[in-house]
Formats: sequence, structure tokens, C-alpha cells
Amino acid sequence: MHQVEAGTRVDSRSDPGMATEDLVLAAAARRRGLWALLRRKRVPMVCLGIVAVFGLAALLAPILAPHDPNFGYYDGLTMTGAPLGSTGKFLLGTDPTGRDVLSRLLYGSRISLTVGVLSTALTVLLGLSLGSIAGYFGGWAEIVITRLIDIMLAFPVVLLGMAIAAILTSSIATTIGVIALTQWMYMARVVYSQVQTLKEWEFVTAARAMGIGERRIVLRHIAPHMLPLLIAYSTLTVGTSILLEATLSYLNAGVPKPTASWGSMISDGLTYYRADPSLVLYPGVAILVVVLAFTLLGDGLTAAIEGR
Amino acid sequence: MVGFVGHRLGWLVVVVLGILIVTFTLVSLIPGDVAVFYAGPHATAQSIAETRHALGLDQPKIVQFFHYLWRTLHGDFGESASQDEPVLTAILDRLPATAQLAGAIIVLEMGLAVLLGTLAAVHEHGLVDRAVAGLAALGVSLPGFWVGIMLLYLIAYRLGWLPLGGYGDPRWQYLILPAATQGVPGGFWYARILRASLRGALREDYVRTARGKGLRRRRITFRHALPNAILPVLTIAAMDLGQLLGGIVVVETVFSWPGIGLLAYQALQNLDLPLVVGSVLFTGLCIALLNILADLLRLAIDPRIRLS
Repeated sequence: MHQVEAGTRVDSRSDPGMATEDLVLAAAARRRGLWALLRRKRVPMVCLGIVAVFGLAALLAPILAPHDPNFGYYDGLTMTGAPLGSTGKFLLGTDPTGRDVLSRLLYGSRISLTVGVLSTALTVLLGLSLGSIAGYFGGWAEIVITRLIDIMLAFPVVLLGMAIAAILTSSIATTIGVIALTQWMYMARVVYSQVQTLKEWEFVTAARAMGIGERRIVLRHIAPHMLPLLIAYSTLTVGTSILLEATLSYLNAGVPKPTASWGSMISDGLTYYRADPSLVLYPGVAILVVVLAFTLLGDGLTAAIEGR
Repeated sequence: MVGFVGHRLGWLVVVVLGILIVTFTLVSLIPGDVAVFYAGPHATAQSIAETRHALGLDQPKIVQFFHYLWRTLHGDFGESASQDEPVLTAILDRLPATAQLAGAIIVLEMGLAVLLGTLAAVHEHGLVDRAVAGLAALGVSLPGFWVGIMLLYLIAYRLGWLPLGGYGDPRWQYLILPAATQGVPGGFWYARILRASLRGALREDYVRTARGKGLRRRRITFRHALPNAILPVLTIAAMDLGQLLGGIVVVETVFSWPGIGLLAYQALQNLDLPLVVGSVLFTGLCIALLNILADLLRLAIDPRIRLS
């Protein structure tokens, strides 16, 4: 949902005190000082710390994980075949097939990070190119692209993801593609309205008068002004993508089993969650903390750009 | 006004056509030869060819698309493989349950949004105001399926206050938890949007005029500013319908609420692809129609659209 909010902020509907031109101007002026502005804020810095810890956990999972995340241990189940609680060998207990929860959580962070970052990159690529074409060239391109956005927005994201996953073979790559396919519209809309504003500016007219090519104008004169907003917006999108991956994996429509994903860990734990709610609790908290960190960081960046 | 309605109806035609193109593409991507499937296990090469001809599968894709368009617009969404009935019948059977849940979620979201958003906007920098931004970030970062499972565990299983999912009588008892799972976080989100919008409205000239006339503050807020502030929230909520229905799919699966989402999830587990794609098509069409309804609602509320 927060894509819409970010989008409306750009066309200044949700903050009527500030016109779009002012926003873009503020963004441009603060481009170099983004880090300096952010550094003084507590919440975004804490979130940045959480993101860093999460990234390290993902990077170092093979070293940090005490066990093989996909191996069902004989001593990982009780005599009656129930998962273990916290023990010396399995610090966070085991799942219903005797696999180590801590190791799966650590390896799960790799999936979240990979899918989150790569699908965001694809989202940015699609959103940036389609959004700038629609915003800069107008005409037929604009009509076709904005209609395409409307059409794609008419699908329930999760359901479309389920359908695509069911038809194509589910894999990490499919999941990344599905997420980008259902997220690019929000990015495209933000870029579209930005470019529309920017292209009316004098420096663009000046560049055109100097005979600079259209492609160069878009890439060298317009794109740099959108950078801060793109950074803020991509941060939010990483959070959304991680959440979407977890949801799809929970529904068996995301990363295929037995690969450890936080979403599929929750669906795996469902059979025993009444006896041992930690099977659902731990991966859920992991998702929440990481997604919240990206969301608040993105909010912090947006606020810094807008000069709040 | 006629122009506005005509423009929106044109939009509807384009979007519906686009939705059909997307779902037709999905159907064409389904692996395996449909003719072999329909001809049965003992079919000869000749009878397979005859079946292929009878189903129109030997025609060019574009012709097949128009057949698909024709069938779909006449309510023929294909046959479900797992339910042994037409896809549309299976979906329409589940529509009331989904509509109930969606209605409850929207009421909860908008109720919370108006309550918290108004409090936050009126008491600037007050407790609610400071909480709303954080709550909104929390609302979009919470994995819905996880919240649902935790609520089931705590409130239904441990405390035993409400039923453990399902669809019994009295209905409201079964409705509370699924509706809250999605409605409360959503309400936080829209509260933030309404807060920004209402604060903008309270700065407008007509509010100053009303204040100058000596009207009471409460009357100004609720009668003059709020109706104007709600319009953008309504627009954004209409754009978010895809997200809303996607969330409902997840909530229905967690709570075994027998709606379209649970149907699609079960179809996915049974690899009943016509039913999965059919539910994508159906919900997509519903969202497009609801968008038009939202436009008409705006038309009714906002005389500026009617007069322009």
C-alpha cells in the first residue's frame, strides 16, 4: 500500500502545502546532503543498523549457521515425532521435520535479501524506463503506458502471483519476476509525474535549444534529479518485495521447498503451531523487523528529501 | 458530467480488454497440450487432431483470443478440473463470503482512518498524531498471514474468545478476527493519508471563512473540512482495491474463510489452473467495475467534477 502514498507525495496530493516543483527543487538541492540530513535522525539510523545486521546475516549464513538448514536430524524430533523446543544443540528448536530453526532463519535471510534487492532492481528498471518514456515523450507512448499501468493495477497482486507461479515452474527467478511484474506500476507512476514536471523546466529547454539529443536529455539532465527520490522509493520497494516474497512462499507460490524462506517456514510450522507457537513466531518477527526497517528507512529518506 | 462518465466508460472498456489479454496469455502459457487432455487417454492421433480442431486450437492466436473474449463476455470462464463444475459457478458460490469479508474490512479501515486521522490532524503534535506515522509504517510492514495466525493462536486458541476460523453462525463471531487482521493495519495506513489531507483542508480559505463566521470548531472540522479531505482518501482506496483483494486471499486462507481467495488457494494446491486463472480474471473485472463505482461515488460527493 505504501507505494500509493509515496506516489501521492510526489504529486503533492497528500501534502497540499508543497507544490510538485518545490519538491523536485528541494530534492535537487538536497541531493548531495542526503546522508548528512539522514545521519542526524535517530529512527532511520537504527533502521540502517538493522538492515546492515540483516545483510551480514545473509552474507555470513554459511559461517553463522550451526547446522545444515535443509537436513532433518534424527535427534531433532522427540520420541513421538514432535519438534523440539530450544535445546543446547538446536538453540531455537527444530521444525516439524527435525530441521534447525536458527539455521533456517539465517539462510532464509539470504532468500529475502536476494529476492528483495533483485526484484527491486527489476522494478526500478521497468518503472524508470516506462515512466520516463510516458512522461517525457507523451503522445501515444503516454496513452499506452498509462493504460497498461491501469490494467496491471486491476489485478490482486497475490492472486496474479499465484497464477503465474502455478503456470510457470516456481523458482527464485520466477518469484523475482512475479514481484517486479506486480510492482513496477507504482514506480512508473512516480517517475512519470516527476518527468512531466522536470521536462517543463528551463534547463531542459536550454539543453534542447543547444541541440542535445532527446536520449541524452533524459539520461543526463533529467534522471539525476530523480535520484534521491528513486533511492527513497527503492528502499520502500525492497521492504514491500520482501513481504510479498514471504506471502507467496507461505502460499506455496514463491520460493520452492525445501529452500528455507521465512514465509515457507511459517507454513511448515503451521501443523504444530498450537503446541509450539515459536515455529510461527520467529520467522514472522524476522519478516516484520526487516520490512519495518526498510519502510521506516524509506520514510526517513523521503522526509529528508522533502526537508521535514 | 456526461463527458466524465463517457471518459470513464471508455477507460473501463480498455481496462477490461487488457485484463482479458493478460489472462488469455496466462491460459496460453499453461503447459501441456489441451487437445490431448480433452481427447482422453486412449485417443488416436486423428481424434486428437479432431479435438484440436473442435476446440479451435488450430486457429491463429488472434482468432483464439476473440473466441476467448466472446466466451468470457458470455459468462463462460471454462471448466474447473477439481470442482467438476464451471469456473464461474464455483466462483459465484464463494462471492458472498468474500464480499462480506471485504465489506467488513473496508468499514473497519475507513472507520479507524476517520477516527485516528481526524484526531491526529486536529491535535497537531498530540499523542495520536505522533503515533499515526509509526502505526502506518507498522501497518504496511506486518505480514497479514502471520498476524492472522498469531491472532488465531492468542485469541481463539489460548483465550478461546472467538472461533478458530471457518464460517459458522453467528457470523460476526467468525468475521471479527479475519476482518481485524487486515482492517486494523489498513486503517492505520489510511489514517496517515487522511491526516495529511485533512490538515491541508483545514488550511483552506473556506475554513478561515467558517471560523470568521464564528462556527464551532467541531462543526468546521466535520461538516466543512472532513468531506473535502475524504475525497483523496477515497481515490487512493479505489486504486488500492487490488491490494485489498490480494490481502483478502491471504486472510481467507489463514482463517479457512470460504471465499474466492480460499478457492483459488485450493485450486493452486490441486493444480486446477483454469480455476486459478478464472479467479484472477473475475477479481480483475470486479476491481475494474468497483473503480468505476468509486468514480460515480466521487461524482455524487464532489460537485466540482459534476460541473466541470
